[in-house]
Amino acid sequence: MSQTITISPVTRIEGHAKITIHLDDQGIVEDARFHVNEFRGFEKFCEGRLMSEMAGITSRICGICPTSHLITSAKAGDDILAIEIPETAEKLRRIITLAQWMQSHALSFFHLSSPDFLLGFDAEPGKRNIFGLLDQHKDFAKRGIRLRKFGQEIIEVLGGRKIHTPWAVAGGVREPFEASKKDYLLNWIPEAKETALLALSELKKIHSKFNKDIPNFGNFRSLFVGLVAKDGGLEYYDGLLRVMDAAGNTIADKIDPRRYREFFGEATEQWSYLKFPYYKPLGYPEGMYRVGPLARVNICDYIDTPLAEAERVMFKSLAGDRGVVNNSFYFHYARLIELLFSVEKIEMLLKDPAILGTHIRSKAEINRNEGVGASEAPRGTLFHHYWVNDDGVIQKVNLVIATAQNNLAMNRTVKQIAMRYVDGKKITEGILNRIEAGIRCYDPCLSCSTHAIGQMPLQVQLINSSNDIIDEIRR
Amino acid sequence: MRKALVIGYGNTLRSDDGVGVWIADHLADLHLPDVDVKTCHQLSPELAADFGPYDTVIIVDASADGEPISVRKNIPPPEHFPSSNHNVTPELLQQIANEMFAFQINLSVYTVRGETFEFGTTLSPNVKERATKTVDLIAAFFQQTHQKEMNTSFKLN
Repeated sequence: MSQTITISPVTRIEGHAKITIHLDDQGIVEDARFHVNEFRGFEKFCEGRLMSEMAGITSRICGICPTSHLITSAKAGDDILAIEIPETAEKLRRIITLAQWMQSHALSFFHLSSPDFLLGFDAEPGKRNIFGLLDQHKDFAKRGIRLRKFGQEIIEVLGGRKIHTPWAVAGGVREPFEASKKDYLLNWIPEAKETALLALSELKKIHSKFNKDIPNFGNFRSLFVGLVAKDGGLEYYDGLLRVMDAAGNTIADKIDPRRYREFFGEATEQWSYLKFPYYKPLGYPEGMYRVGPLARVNICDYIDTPLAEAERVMFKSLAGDRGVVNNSFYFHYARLIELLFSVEKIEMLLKDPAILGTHIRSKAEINRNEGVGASEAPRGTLFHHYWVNDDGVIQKVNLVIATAQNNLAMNRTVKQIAMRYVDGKKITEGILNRIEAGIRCYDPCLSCSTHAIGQMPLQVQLINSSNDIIDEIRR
Repeated sequence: MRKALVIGYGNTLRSDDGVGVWIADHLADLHLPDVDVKTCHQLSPELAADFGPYDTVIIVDASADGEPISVRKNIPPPEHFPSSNHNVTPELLQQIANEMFAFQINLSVYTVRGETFEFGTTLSPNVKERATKTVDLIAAFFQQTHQKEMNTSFKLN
């Protein structure tokens, strides 16, 4: 009798999800699925709203990376106004985007993933968390919190202390940078840089510790997609789309993000609310691609800060002759390279006199009835596409979020780990942990929009082919 | 004078989920002496790093079930940590403050039961009533505390 093992919800991933592992009659894993059960519905909710409200509304999609939605929404607004924003506004938007990267990457590594790495996948679940680190790694855990605090300080200095303040608006930003805050923020840089370097050093030690697990953590061929700067450098705020294949060949380049729908489609499956974006020229599901840190560091030609660039070169050596690193475990490495880049780049931008300018917003009427904003959110490329009438009232919205773009790859990763570790007889904590850790490589954000009803225990269900639950475990 | 911090959190676009923020905003409007107010979408670990100047921290949140208004005080550290949920709970935030930063705080958690968590920017009528009562409760607590401290200070002088 074929069986299904359900792991629900996945812990330490923002939002709701469960994993089912499907066994054949012999108890061998034949498939695995990563289900997303929460329907967000923001696209429909936005219809009828004013374009000027969109930044404030869409930033509520996520409690962890609201700034990414804020910036991308403002960029879609820029496109509708058909204007170029002032240099000062662009540089300030860049700083806050990097602050969001720093915050999100720090949370992902220090709080969500490092317990697995420092304590081991087989450690007691009750201790394999950030608090379990306190005994032996207190300073490490504390540094992660302070790094997040630095990111939050930047966001608050620029955007204000109120949550979801629509600081970034179509045409620029609402408030200039307070010169008196510059030195305060710069004083954080040495500690932040030291912490980012420490994290990289610890992660590299971990690579050898997990050399038996790493080959099974999402190690497969796929495309990689992201924005790169016009000269091919690592990009986070603007740029053009690049598509690279699993052998490191650039198969599409310099694509204006406005044309995203020509290149990327969104498939659906009955068993998940999360869409399955794919690269249209290869079709579904062959057009599977990965976005986010692994993709960005793979596809860029260089990074324009010295320490992160040195790390990128080392990272690329993992690829050998293939040209790209195909193993999702190295999302963590790429994420920390970007963390270091964020600190270095924020320092550069804070020292740039242009950020103190007072011309921060260009104004115009509605000049287009359609606009696309694209930026690199911590988890990957984010698209906001709005259609408005002549009064700026939203008629239709399409949001392509980073986590969805990794959906096919996350499913492939779960299947690979399940095939390697599940023997059809029992699921140990260690196996569960590895499956969850496989998903956490992508740091998915499935929505934390209703936290009050979002706290559930870990649940494991064993279901037979008649859909009867024959076993259930709660952690 | 000892200071207090109020943190209201939730999603203000999901109707009653935003009641914690609503309460915090209304407390901020009262300009209570030595009380700082903060709002956020969800709790995150770095909030604990800001607890240093405070001896009292009040966290206000929505709940999906339980009493219409509930107050928990003198909250002990959790006996068992969850297998690490992304959403940091008030108990865990207190633990981070105590164990990582050595901040000793008196934590209270006020929760108001919500009725709808669908998309919407307003509170449902019953929840708005509960929220108003909670503002009064918290304000009264601070006024009593402030009065006691003033009396103590007067006697010492």
